[in-house]
Amino acid sequence: MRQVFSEDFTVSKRQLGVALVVLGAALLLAAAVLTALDGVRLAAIIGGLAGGAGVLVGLTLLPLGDRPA
Amino acid sequence: MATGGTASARRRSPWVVTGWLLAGLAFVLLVGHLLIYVHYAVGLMRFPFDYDQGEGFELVDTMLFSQGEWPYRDNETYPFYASNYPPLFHVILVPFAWVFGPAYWYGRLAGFVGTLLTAAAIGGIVYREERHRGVAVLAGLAFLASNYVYHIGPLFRQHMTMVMFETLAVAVLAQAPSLRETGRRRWALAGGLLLLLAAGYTKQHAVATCVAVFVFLFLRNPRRAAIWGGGFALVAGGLFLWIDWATGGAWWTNIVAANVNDYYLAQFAGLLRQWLRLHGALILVAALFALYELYVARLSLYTIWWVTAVASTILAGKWGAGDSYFTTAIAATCVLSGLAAARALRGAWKLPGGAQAALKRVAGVAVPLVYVWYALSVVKMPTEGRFFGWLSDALGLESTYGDRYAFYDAAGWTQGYASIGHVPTQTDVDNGWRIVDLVRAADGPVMSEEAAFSLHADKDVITNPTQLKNLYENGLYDPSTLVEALRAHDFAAVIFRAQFYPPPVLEAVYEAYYPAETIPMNGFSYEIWQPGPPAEQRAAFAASLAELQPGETRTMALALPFDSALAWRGHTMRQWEAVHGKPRPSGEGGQCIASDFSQDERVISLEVCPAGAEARLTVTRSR
Repeated sequence: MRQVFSEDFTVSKRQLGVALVVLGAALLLAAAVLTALDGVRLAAIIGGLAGGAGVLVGLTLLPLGDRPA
Repeated sequence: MATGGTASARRRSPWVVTGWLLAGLAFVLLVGHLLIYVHYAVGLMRFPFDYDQGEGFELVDTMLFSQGEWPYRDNETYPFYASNYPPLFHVILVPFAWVFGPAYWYGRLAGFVGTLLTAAAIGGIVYREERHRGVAVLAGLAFLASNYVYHIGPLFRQHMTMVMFETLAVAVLAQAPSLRETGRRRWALAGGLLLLLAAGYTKQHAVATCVAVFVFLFLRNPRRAAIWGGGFALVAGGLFLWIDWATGGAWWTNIVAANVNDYYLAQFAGLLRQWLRLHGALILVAALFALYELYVARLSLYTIWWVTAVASTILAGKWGAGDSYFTTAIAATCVLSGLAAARALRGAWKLPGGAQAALKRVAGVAVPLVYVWYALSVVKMPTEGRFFGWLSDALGLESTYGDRYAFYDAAGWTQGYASIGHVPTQTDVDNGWRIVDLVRAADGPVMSEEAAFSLHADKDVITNPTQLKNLYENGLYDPSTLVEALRAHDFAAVIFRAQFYPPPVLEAVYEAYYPAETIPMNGFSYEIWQPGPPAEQRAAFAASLAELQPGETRTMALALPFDSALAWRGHTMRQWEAVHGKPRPSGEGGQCIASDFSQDERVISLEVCPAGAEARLTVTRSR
């Protein structure tokens, strides 16, 4: 964490990919919970689609390594 | 189009000549769009009334600020008015309000100049990053050519000023993290964030650009993003809390709570399809550039801005939202496509093998072709007048709006798309002043769905209809005081254009007033509703309808002139079915008018007779 908040730290493509996968999965989970509690709602559909896109894009960024994002 | 230093023989090759011809055509077409835009803007600045729904309330906000008052107020007390927009656009216009009083032209001028500055900023970004004057000019002109920008740019509305601040903020902040000199970097960050703050305090929709900026700063350096983000949140949040405190909580209610509206997916889907169809040429190039930066190069603020701006268009499905929600995405698209085009012409894309050289060769024709394609997709123009009548005839273009407006728009129409773009006529102006004369002659304040008439008549502006409707639908507005005022005829008249009021308010108008006159202006029908009989006479009449038995008759006085009483009778019986043909003369000398109405099993005969300056009504239940 100390390194992340250092003067010269820059987020890499892989780190961005991990962040997108985590955020996307969280959105997918939230959409699933919302659907389970409240039925199929527009917000859940949009959240699910955005989450799915986030996970997919994130996964494709993982192989790009330490190049700056 | 120039592709860098080449030999003179190559300059004359058919491929290069074709590129230059297409570039010239793109430039001519986009300049043509600019001239049409200027024509429209000047036409609107000369029109002294509301052109688009709600413009007048922006003027009211400006006038309130010029008098040192907040427009964020309690909607439940007279004059039942509050604004739902942040203050900066109106505050900027305060000096104009001091000098010129309430007038529409300076707000429209500000919006128009804002779009020109946005276009200049787009061109400036493209030139600064890629050093290609031709594409920089085309990118700026492309923004002004958009049907959406054309529509909204010269209106007395804050949206395009927000887009201007957003674009300027992005222009300043995009290079800030790369500045090596600490002092310059700090100044750039402070200046850029100040512009971002200005965008947010012009309109709430700027939140998408705020997200883009802080994601970008985080990717470049999380520490810097946290420090500057904290400072930004402190200033923006502090301002928010101060205004909320100064307005007794009315700021939160009117700015935040009132903007939670119903959502229509079909509206968003229609607008998205329309946006893709009109701007597809540039969107395609912008998307390729974004993918290139994501996987090959480094993400710039421009690309992140484009992604968040496009994502934020999903809010266009809200009730009351529309095509304006795409204008930030259009600005970002013009930047990104301009960068991509200029880079292709310079051969500066980093591609494997011989692809880089091949792309440079193709770009000489493909880039101008993209702008020609775009310019031909966004065609719109007036279809009457000496020049535009001839031009539209020559091009075979007819008005998209039939007899309503003389205006062709390639966009067509979809739910949420503003059906405007024409230049108002002298008849529109004359009819507007007719309505103002009616308001001036009225004995007291007038509740008008548009503010212009009351402002010109120097009377109080009563209600901000859509604001009341939004608050009512969110359970945040109790209309009982306004309903009581309407039932008591506290307003000398009511003027409707679209009837965007809460249902109880509309019901109160229907019960206490009647439509006396319709005046067309600017493609809309303005209904002038006059007070019906006093409350006790209306109650007596309603009781007669409910209580009379077959064969019984009641007579009552109506405090209305005879002609007005006839008009009121027709309106108040609107939920009954007229029977036995047209109203017929009756009474002594045929000076009365009688007509019959039925509902379920009941048949009622109403006879209206003149009684001095007023009228007498006889109600008979025949069945």
